[in-house]
Amino acid sequence: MDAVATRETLLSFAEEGTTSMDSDPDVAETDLRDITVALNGDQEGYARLVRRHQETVSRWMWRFTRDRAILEELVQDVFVEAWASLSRFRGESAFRTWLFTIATRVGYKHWKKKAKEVAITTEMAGRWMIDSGEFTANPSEAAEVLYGLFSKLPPRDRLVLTLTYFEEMGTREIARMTGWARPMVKVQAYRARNKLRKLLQRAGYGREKHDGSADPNR
Amino acid sequence: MTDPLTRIDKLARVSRWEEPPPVDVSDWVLAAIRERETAYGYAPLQWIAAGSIAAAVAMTLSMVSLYQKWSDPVATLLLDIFQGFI
Repeated sequence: MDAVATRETLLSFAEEGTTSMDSDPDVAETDLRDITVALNGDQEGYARLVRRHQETVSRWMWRFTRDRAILEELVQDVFVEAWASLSRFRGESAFRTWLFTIATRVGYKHWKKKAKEVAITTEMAGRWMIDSGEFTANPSEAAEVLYGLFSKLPPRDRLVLTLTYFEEMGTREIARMTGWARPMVKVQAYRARNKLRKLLQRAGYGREKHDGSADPNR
Repeated sequence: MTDPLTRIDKLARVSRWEEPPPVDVSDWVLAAIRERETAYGYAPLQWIAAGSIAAAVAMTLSMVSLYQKWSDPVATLLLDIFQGFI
């Protein structure tokens, strides 16, 4: 599954009122069958679920870390947590939607634990911040820059920005993913964008707004 | 006047094509689940053991306090006086 397809899947799952079963009925049906098998005590059913969804979950968790070892730990945590709550899965949404909600919570918890540590400034983000020429980045470099910039902000802002920029989610989708109220998501998004804007302005981007000098990247 | 966030939009568009490193956690997840299940399987026995220990401790404490009371000379004297009245 390619990156854009995954993002579209995520967005379709996050849409309000969507049962999400219709996006891929075969997968949804197979998931339900395996969930029933797993709940009846056959762990092989759950193993099939893990194998089916670990790629999309790892793609999702890659937004929460750039470290491969931590990525593996986070993906494992998501599936172990999902197993622990599997009996509470009602099938009102697709298993994958439900899994993404758990994954978002696991990723956010990971950031909160790391909040007291010094914010990671990736080398790429630093380069981008001081780069006066046109920065041409490949997808991985671009993601690294965004990750580095967002990591300078508190976890709540970081989560909203990650869902907004990486996954193109609106407030409704973010509210569903995080469990926050929509007005709160709106306020959080507004504040987070302002903080990010100030961060970039301090680094010299968009200064002409104040002192008339040209944007170094234009 | 340029909003610096437009640069972020551009980066975000490019970043969405990123391919993360592949991971395979199925074996590890199953092992972790089995471990949890085993731990939960022993849970009732652990509760019974904890209850037995708590009861034993309470009984020992009450016996010690009773012994001290009975071996106290003043208590013995008072008991003798009381028995004398009877």
